[in-house]
Amino acid sequence: MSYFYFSYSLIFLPIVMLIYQLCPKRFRYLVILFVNYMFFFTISGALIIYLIGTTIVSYITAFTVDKVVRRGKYKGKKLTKLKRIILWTGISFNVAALVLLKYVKVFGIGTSWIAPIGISYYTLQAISYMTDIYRGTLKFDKNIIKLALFLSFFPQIMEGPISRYNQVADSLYAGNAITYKGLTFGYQRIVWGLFKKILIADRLAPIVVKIFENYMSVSGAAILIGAISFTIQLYMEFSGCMDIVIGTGMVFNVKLPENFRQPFFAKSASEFWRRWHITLGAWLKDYVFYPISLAKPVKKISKHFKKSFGNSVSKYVAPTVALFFVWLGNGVWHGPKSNYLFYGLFYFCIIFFETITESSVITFAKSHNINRESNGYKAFQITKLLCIVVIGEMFFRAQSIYDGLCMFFRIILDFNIKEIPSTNFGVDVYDIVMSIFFSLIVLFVDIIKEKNINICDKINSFRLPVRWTIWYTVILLILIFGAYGKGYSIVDMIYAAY
Amino acid sequence: MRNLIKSVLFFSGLYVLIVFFGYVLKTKEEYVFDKTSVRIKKDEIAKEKDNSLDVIFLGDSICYSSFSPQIIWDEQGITSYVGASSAQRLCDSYAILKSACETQNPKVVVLETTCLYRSIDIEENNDDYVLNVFYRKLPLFEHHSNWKDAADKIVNSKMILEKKSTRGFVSRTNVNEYTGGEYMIPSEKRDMFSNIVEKYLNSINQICNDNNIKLLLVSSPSPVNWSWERYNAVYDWAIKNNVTYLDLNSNKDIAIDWKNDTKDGGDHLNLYGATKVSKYLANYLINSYDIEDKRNDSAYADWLAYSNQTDK
Repeated sequence: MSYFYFSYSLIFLPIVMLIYQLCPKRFRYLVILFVNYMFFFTISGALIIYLIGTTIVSYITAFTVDKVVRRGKYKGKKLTKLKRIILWTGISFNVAALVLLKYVKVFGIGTSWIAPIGISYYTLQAISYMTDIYRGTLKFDKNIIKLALFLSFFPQIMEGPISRYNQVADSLYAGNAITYKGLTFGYQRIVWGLFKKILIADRLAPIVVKIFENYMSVSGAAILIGAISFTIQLYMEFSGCMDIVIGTGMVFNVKLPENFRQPFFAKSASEFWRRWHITLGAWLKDYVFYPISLAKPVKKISKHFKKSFGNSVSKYVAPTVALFFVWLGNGVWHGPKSNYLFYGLFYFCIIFFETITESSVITFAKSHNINRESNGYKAFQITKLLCIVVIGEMFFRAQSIYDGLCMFFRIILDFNIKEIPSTNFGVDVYDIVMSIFFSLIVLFVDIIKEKNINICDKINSFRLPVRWTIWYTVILLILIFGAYGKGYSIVDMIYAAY
Repeated sequence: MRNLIKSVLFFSGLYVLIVFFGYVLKTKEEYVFDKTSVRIKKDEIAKEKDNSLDVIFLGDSICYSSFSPQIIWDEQGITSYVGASSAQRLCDSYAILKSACETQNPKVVVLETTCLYRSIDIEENNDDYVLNVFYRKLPLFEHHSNWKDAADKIVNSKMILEKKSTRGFVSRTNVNEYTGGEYMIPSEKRDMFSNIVEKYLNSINQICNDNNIKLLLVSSPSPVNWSWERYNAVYDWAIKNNVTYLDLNSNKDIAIDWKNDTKDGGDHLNLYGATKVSKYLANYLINSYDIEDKRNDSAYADWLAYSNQTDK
């Protein structure tokens, strides 16, 4: 079942809510756990064994680490070494399942093996849990049910967000009653997610399919429109899904972390990644970037560079090595395809370039009296970033790196904007006009959010007739202008495939 | 209690609005599945010079991947248009043909048969149970796309974005071989298409008969979509209705090379496969029907210019 189905928000969720609410508080966590596993089972069937396996392995790992620390038999380096062995054993089990089911296909092994839904998400959550216990930033809890709830929470199992144990486990276990406020605010967020998906993302899907499949027979300008359309589609789809996921969490008093924060207002690629798929970026920062940049071999290399080239060069070495593995990890996480790898390394190059040129840009701006805080300069930065993002997403969506390169060079060498009116985009003008119109509404809402105004609070501060008119309008816009029904199809959730 | 009353009032108001807009948008026009594609195809064909087309192709993506009007023109000077669209249902083929007959008088209508196996029932195409219930109970859900018709009346134009140069053909040069081996294995079984599809097929045949058009059923090579069982079912209907049926899946003369001629592992043909099929069909059409080679006819100068384009 997709989160975007009406069946999810109008049948499945209300039934779960009813059972949850009718159940005594002390058993509510069991309702959630049962629903989590049922939800998982209906999608991946017997492959639920992998989720349960990950839960058990992660628990045993955390339990063993905790036990070793508590016994106090080992101290100092010996203790760290032992803890590290236990941690790596736990991580290896989880990563092995992920690699076997998702990645070995590229070598022609297990091509028919199917990965359970959400394996890329819950594996990262499991690794973060074990690592936090190892680091001592998280206290071990003997209650395995909490861990099971954390790894399997049904709204986030398909597309994240990749939450941390201490963010959600307690509230999932608490079983607090559903409140009117949580319910209404949660459903308002769900409606907003449907707005993005049904009005924009699914409407743009035919353009994306048409252009990316037929890029050889369209002009560079049309390819650029296809790439822009995919960027918007992906944002609306993924952030819309997050709205539904977070809205569902709100209904059950579970505050899930945000995964998007107006990414297109970023002024650099590194800032973009602090606003786009935030939880993946944060995970990679905490569990890849820091450990690698502080690792002994990397420190050694840094020292070597300091001796040979001085501090001005060596200061970049450790972050760059760590950054490389972060982006390698980002690319590989999306799947075993060369263009995902390219996508990751593309951002590595861009962010590396941004880092090493940062001081030169500041100097240049000062010497030429360019105000880096002016609106003009910010507009330039945002435009530059949009170009980077669109190109990156084009390679991400292309069938292969070769296809991505062909598309890129076609944009550069054969732009031919005059061809646009006669290009087959697979949609009519009304669909294009509506996509633009509704995207502008989302942009408007994002501008308000960027000003730190909580739009839901704002709407709910209005008098009832105004409030209801707003929500009636939003719902009727979805129902009348939505890209669903005959001639449209609810497109599969893009990030559920990763 | 206050919150409960508020909720009941909110949803009652919403229900009234949904019923109202459903009533406003409901029309009695003929049933079409994909309104957007039908609009595009109807308008494209209407833009062709009146009575200039010898052949109109109908069908789904298998059709628009297999038949190139340019190659057919280059081969035998036959004018044609591909009125196929992605996942075209037969009700849409019927609507497009009906509209096309208002401006064109083709000699032959070629119906690619894969679309006979596409369900016309919206509920069979949708996994969302609640949405299916809404389709049945609330007209707004089925007719909501009619806002485009209303918009048409306001702006008084049908603004369509469609590339005319390929006349409906979609050219793909990527190769992804089919490795499944022989797929046309003789069988006595029949993979029947649904009664509602048969009803539309009869209607298409009726339009053709009324307009003195020959209906030609063609199954383009596609291991993923075709089988002997499907061939049997279509053959039975063709014999019963005295319609010519050409199954190119069993035809060795075309010499489809499944290592090179398909773009997606035997689902659709790529340009190389389409070139073979189009050339074969061009020769079949010129030899089997009363169609003239127009390559030296000055009235078709625009088709000559079309032939000189590089984009197939």
